[in-house]
Amino acid sequence: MKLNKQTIALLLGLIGLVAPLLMPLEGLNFAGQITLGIFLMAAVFWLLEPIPIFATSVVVILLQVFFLSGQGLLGDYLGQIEGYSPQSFRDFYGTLASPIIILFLGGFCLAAASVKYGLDRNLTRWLLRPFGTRSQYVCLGLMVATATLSAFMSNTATTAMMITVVIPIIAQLDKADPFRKVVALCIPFAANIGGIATPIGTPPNAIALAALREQGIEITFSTWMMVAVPLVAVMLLVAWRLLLWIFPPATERFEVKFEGTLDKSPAAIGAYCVFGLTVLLWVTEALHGISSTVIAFIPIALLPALSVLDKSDIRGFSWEVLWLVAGGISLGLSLEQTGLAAWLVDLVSWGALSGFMLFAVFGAVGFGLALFISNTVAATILVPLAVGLGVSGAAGADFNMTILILVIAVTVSFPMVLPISTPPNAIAMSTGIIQTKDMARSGLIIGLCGFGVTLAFGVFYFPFFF
Amino acid sequence: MQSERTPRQGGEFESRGGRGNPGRLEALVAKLRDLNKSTVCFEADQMVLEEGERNEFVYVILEGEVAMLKRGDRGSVMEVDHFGPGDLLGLTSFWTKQPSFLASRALTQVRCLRIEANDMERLVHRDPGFGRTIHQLFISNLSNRYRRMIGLNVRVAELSQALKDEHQQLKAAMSELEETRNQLVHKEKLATLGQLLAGIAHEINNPCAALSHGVTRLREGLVSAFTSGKNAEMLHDEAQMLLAGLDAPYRSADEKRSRMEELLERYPRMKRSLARRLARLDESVFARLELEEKGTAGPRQIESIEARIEFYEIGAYLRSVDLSSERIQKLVQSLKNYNKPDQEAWENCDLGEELRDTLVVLNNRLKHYDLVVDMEPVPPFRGIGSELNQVWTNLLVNATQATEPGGRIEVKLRASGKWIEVTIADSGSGIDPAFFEKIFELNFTTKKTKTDFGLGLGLSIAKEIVEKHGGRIHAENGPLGGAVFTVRLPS
Amino acid sequence: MKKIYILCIEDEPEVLEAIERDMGVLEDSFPLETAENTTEARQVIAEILEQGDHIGLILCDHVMPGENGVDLLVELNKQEKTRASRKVLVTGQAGLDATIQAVNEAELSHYVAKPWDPEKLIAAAKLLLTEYILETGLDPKPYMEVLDGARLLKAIHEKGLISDS
Repeated sequence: MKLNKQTIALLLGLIGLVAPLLMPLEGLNFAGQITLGIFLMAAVFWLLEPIPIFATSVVVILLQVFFLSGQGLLGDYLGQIEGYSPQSFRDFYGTLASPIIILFLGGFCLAAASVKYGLDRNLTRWLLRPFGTRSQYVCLGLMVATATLSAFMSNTATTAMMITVVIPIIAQLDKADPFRKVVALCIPFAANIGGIATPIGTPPNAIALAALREQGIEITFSTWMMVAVPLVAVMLLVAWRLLLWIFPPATERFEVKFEGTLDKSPAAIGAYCVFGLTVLLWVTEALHGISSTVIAFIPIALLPALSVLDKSDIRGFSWEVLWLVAGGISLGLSLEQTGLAAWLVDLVSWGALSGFMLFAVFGAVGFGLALFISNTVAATILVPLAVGLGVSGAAGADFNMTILILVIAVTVSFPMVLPISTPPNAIAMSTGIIQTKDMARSGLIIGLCGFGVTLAFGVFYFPFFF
Repeated sequence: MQSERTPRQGGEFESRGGRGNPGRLEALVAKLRDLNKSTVCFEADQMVLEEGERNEFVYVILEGEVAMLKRGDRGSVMEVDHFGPGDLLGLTSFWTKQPSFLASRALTQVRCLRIEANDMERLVHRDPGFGRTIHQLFISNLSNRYRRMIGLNVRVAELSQALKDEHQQLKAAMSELEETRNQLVHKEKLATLGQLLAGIAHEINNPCAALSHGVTRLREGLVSAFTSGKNAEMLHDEAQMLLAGLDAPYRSADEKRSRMEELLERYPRMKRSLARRLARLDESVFARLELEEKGTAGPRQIESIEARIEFYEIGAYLRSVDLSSERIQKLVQSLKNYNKPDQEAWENCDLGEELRDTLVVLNNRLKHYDLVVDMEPVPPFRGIGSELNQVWTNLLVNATQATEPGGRIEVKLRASGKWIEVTIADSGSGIDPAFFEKIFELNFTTKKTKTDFGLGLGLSIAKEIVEKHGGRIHAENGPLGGAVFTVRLPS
Repeated sequence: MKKIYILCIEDEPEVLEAIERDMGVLEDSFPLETAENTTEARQVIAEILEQGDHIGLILCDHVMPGENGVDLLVELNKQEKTRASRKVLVTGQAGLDATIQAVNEAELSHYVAKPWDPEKLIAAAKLLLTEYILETGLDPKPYMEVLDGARLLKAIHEKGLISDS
């Protein structure tokens, strides 16, 4: 067999899986060793991608069910470990239908319905209207619209739609006009930033929420938005000004013409109603107290019932994203439950670091990881460690686990330096309007600003809520 | 006796006196009663008078039939008139003292009065009544003859007119037949040409594609070549690369693939597009590039390599343009030789050359087969080149239709003795011996579907043309398993 | 990552070189393979499939020594792994019958007449490869820049072709 990249990655992953079992690791029980093996393998696979990342996630669940559950191959043996009781395989399977996954599924349903009936396009039309035709304000309008949509829809799908809308208009601009680059870049950046705004905006949010739920910390939809929306708003403004500063536009006027009318068919009206109702219930969670994860089932049930979505729409969902998140949640379970997370955290003496420094270190690692690998995976790897840090009490007294987890979830959304960093970046690159160096320069500056703003929010704003 | 005489012809040329006047003859005979001794008899087939001899008598036929004979220019003797009782023989020669103009032969036993010149004079002198009678007889006889002659002349003129008309009609029919045949050959040629053209379009389009592609690339290449700054040394190198490109070796797809793999193995970071361009290079040119061994060539080095390869490629495109236009030229030349619509005349043909032109024109079909061409030089043949090409075309197309693609087709040209022999053999299904003769008939076909070539008259037209050239065509089954058609043309 | 190949089959060396050069523009995204006849083409196809790679586009001449191009395309259309491959007939002249057969039995995607316009050929190839990716659901990200962006964007927006990760 030829030793290509793929084979090497597979071999490395397998070594990662087996190695922890062969060496004595002080302070770690056997279950922890197995978990470490799975964790290392998953990390290698996610990093080098010999198999698709969502496949790695379900392989993780498979390994957990076989080797870590009480009903698995080693169930009896694991049961004899002192101070440890293996989890049921149901717990691992349960992650596939955990409330957070259902919340996301609800989001998928809403997104699919709004795409199907053009709600997203019409929303964009309305959102852009107040911004007039002065080029820089149109740019801000585009960013606000993109961020708003991507808060409820997939960042990637939002970017695709917005890029489709602006390409014909960009084509009319002078080829040398830097404003072309501004428009092409503001959309993916706004989509990445907008994903932070709601729990369903982007998968890393789900990882954070799930981990907090495991610790008995429930963050409501409205709380999340109150925490995240100001940050998003600040970042949109920062990104907007920075882009205009880096690429000073030559045109004064720029008009986004939008074709289309509102679909008024019964199915479309059904879709609008369900969309409005769900979002309304989500943001008013504090008033009625019904969990957003419960509300999420309204669109799941009603949209098919009203024939707004048919089976082909349901087949078109990004199910693999749910698997990816479920695998992450499941791995987090074992990391925490076997004591591995705490053990890993203990390898470093955190006590010397202040709460701010903890945010900075985790945020920087998350930012760095997410530059090259999936944002969700970066969160999956880091969030359990933050949980371990909180549970073990290794950190100082001023340590706030909730805020650290939120900081991680937010910072992994900011790396938008390279085309491979996020799918929206890849889409923007494919237009051919921007070059990698344009994206790298502006993305790095804005990303680092985002990192800084997040730290500031973590220190000065988040503590008002947690 | 007189009553037995029947008129031989009616109409205005019928005699109205003379023989038709028995009274006068009887009176004459009575007067000559005393000349009984001058009654003479001739047996059947006996000559009464010979042509060209002097004649001293005039004969009055009393009984029997006499044929008047005249020798023609070519020595043949024909009967020009027919006399019976009451008619006079030797009248003109007797009177004019000239040699007899006609011969006369008795057809039956003939009895006649023979009157000598002296007797005549004597009788006339003795009896003026006799003189009158005999003169009247003479005149009526002569006028009868004259009338009949005019009648004959009219008839001859009529007949010859009819003959001329018939001749004319026959000639028209012949030329119409010829015209029809020519039209059939022409139509078949046109039909074939249509299909051949389709195939030739493909043959021409291939080099055309290469040509236009080469020109496009040359334009791009030259523009970029002229727009980069360079020193003398670089120019020299570029010229060398260009010259090397003009002799670029042909590399098969397989060869190129293995070279590419080799390159990618040696330089794992090399882009496939660059490897493909390098794979085309000549070994010595490749060496000129001085690629660093195992090196991870930086973008600058790659840029310079690419710029240099570009010149090699310009050379290669020039060569491809050259080859392509040469191919088109050859094809067009063959096509011109194959069909000369303005020269449908007999001329001295080089059969080998024309066979080759036909093979080129049919290449689109023949390239599916294993074609073996074996031609010996043969003496020039006098014929209509474009029609003979139709024969070769029909036989070759016939062979392709009878043979599965991949089969074998052999074309042979030989001079043997008085004949020039063209043999076209295939490895197809062969011919049912029962049909050896029938296949040359009009509209004979073994193809179940409609014909895909010409009018389907192929073999009958071929036979027609070969026979027009004095040759023979025949079919048999040969050693290849399929049919063998042999055309023999007189040397 | 699995590669998506472009395969060109043409018996005339000069013409093959011309196609090769045109398709070479896409080479760094879609590796190119060439074959001079149908037998070689089958070998190349077998090798590509053996590596687990895909054949996205097949450009095939019609008239070639031995088997003709349409028959090969029909055969490939019957095989599972090459059914989705976009099939293009590149020919100076294919009779109506052959073209009908290619359309009906090989589900011919495109017809290119010789001589061709390189830009049009490349544009057609991009379009066909886009269709191939959409039909097979392969990850379009590595190809977004070279392919038909508008169609891919539409699929990403409406069909969730790429999801957040």
